[in-house]
Amino acid sequence: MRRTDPPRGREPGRVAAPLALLSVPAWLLLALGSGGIAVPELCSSALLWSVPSVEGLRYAFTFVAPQVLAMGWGLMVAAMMLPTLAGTLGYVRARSLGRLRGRLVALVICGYLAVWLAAGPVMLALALALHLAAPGGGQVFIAALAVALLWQVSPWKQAALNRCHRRPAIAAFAPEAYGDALRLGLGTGLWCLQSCWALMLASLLAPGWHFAAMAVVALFIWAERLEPPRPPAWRLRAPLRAWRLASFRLASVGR
Amino acid sequence: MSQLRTRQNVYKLGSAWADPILWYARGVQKLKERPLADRTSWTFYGGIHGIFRALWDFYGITDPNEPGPSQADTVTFIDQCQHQSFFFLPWHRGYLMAIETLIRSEIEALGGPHESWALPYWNYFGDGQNALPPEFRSPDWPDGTGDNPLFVVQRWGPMGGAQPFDIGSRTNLDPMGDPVFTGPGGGVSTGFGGPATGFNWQGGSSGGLEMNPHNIVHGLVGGGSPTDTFSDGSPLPGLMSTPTAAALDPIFYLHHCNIDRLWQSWNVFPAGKPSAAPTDWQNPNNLDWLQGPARSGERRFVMPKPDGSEWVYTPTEMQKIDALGYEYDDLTPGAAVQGMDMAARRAVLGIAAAARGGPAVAASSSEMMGASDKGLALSGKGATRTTVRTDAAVRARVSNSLAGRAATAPDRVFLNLENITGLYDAVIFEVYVGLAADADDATRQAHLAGNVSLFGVRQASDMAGRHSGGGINATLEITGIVDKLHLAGNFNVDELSVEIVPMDEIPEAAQIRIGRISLYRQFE
Repeated sequence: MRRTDPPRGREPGRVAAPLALLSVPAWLLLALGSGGIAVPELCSSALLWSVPSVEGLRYAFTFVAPQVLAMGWGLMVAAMMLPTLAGTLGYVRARSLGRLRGRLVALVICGYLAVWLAAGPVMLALALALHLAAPGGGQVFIAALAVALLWQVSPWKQAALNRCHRRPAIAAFAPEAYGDALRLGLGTGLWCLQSCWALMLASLLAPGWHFAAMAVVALFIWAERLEPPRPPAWRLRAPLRAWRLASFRLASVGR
Repeated sequence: MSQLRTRQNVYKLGSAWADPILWYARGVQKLKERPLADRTSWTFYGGIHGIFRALWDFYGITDPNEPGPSQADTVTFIDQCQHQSFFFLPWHRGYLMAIETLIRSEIEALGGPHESWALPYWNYFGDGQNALPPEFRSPDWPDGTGDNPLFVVQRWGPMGGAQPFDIGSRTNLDPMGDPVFTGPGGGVSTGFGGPATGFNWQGGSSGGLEMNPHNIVHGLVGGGSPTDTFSDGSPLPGLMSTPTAAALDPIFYLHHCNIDRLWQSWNVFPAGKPSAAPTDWQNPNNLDWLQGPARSGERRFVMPKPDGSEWVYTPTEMQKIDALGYEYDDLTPGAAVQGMDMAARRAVLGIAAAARGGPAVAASSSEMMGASDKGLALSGKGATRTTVRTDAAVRARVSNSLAGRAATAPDRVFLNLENITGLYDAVIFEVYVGLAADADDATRQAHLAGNVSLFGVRQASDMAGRHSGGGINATLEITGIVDKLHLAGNFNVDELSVEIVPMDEIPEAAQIRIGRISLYRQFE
């Protein structure tokens, strides 16, 4: 008998479209970019070994201009983080009037990106300072991985992850709906930043293979978002659902 | 077929404490003798549905010092029940199968009729059956000794005792007239069996049968304590009122056998019932449903066998009850079913047959029509009134379809109570739409959208729960009310009133809140 899909229609595609329009080009630019365009290129500079100082920063900026750093950070966020917004956008689309839907989706994305872009200078300065403080990059990267691992198993991480799943009621009519959409984007961005800052910092500090590092981190962030919320606690957590999903599908293909 | 075990109506066993119920009680007693950590204990099985240990300890059902299930068993078995989901029916069918098998093994050990024994069901819609079955009411066995395992103190609802209750005043079997198993959801019909979800312990929108009569009967039996409060100050639900204690009450399994019977009835009774589409009265045939949540990398459906080993099942295996070894003595639903007759609706609306469109249930697109500006808190005894603003453009589209000016079947319209949160599951309330504040009783009845039970609201409000505290949603079809408003010229208004009337007083400490009330249209 012919299988019929659950009645979801074209909605998943409509949710994914604006995210894909922003995220896919960002990935392409990150993949193609070399020299100055991507933030990770900064990280590979073996010349950045001195102690952090204004002079050091000036020296660093002779290699990569601040505006290029900012652009690189924007691309990283668009590529790695926007796909996690799919559930939130689907919710907003389902709970809004058709004539407002496009603007509300745009406001959620703007709010979400605003948080991450505002965090950019802090994250980049931290990454730069750590690079300038330590010779090479390996030790800093290992330290950043250790911090990320500690954060990953902490109750604060779980609390932030839980909040990323939150879908508060939103107003239907303008202008209140605009305010609610922006607040939802900002709020989701803040919880997402709390959840993922350590992983993003580690990917900034990778001493090499930056694109691969970003891809792995982005995949991990997407996979851990598939896990249902749990009570916050110190706990080793792994994206088991993604693992089981892949296993189940592979087994089905094999049958 | 002669080997099929027959699940019988508990009110038609011939006499009180007839064999099927007597052996059920004996089996339950044996399970109750085992500790919570034992996979084959009564409390472990209750925990498979849902566990709220602090409440269980508070009621003295478990001892605070008693070890709970092991970590591995918790991950595998506990908190598994599927609600607000198209898995609601198949998961519970497997759950019933498992406990029936377990009790049968106890009956065998006791030398009873294990080969023929099957769980009875409680058809509360049947004549003279709208009160708790007598065997469950008394703390005594038929010989007068006082440890009847079917008796539970924490039944405080109006159907929790010997007093008959007008069940038709609070719930109905109308979902039995919906031929679609899984509706589009998202503000419009969730179908007979519930919306497509992953593994869904609590939270979201119930399917038709889950909402009526399932959720309502839970609340009508369990109710809430009239005098005591829980240790955190929140009101105390009866066991049946909350998914995290419901399966500790032996009446739970008879209630769910009736729900399971209604599913079977929806599938096949009466034979040859009319269908407009090949999928009518059929279970989903997509792999997401057939293979269960394991397909999307989530928890499996798994029950302990009598020897403690695992029995893993999928909805695919839950579809044919004869293949599972049982049947029901009667598949008559038990009450009138108000289905949606498209021809009759067109006649009422005065729409010529020229307007094309099959049965309204085939419509699968949806659009929000409006919503309340704010949420509202519910407490106290009296009615709470609010308004839902409607969007003029969407309202015009609905009006066009109701007037037969669209080349499609007339729209269906749904009222949604979104993001209902709180600490107290034993709340039932009526919802009225488009009602004047001073309306008389007959008018009120014509504007009644339905009753809502908050079964599961506490767990769905948990910030660490699956939906991160998003609560539950209630979707009520108000197509009939909107048709009447349209015909009376009262539909094309900027605001529609909504009135909520609780069955019993809602304590402040229940913290019941509705995030938003919205209107959606479902159209072709």
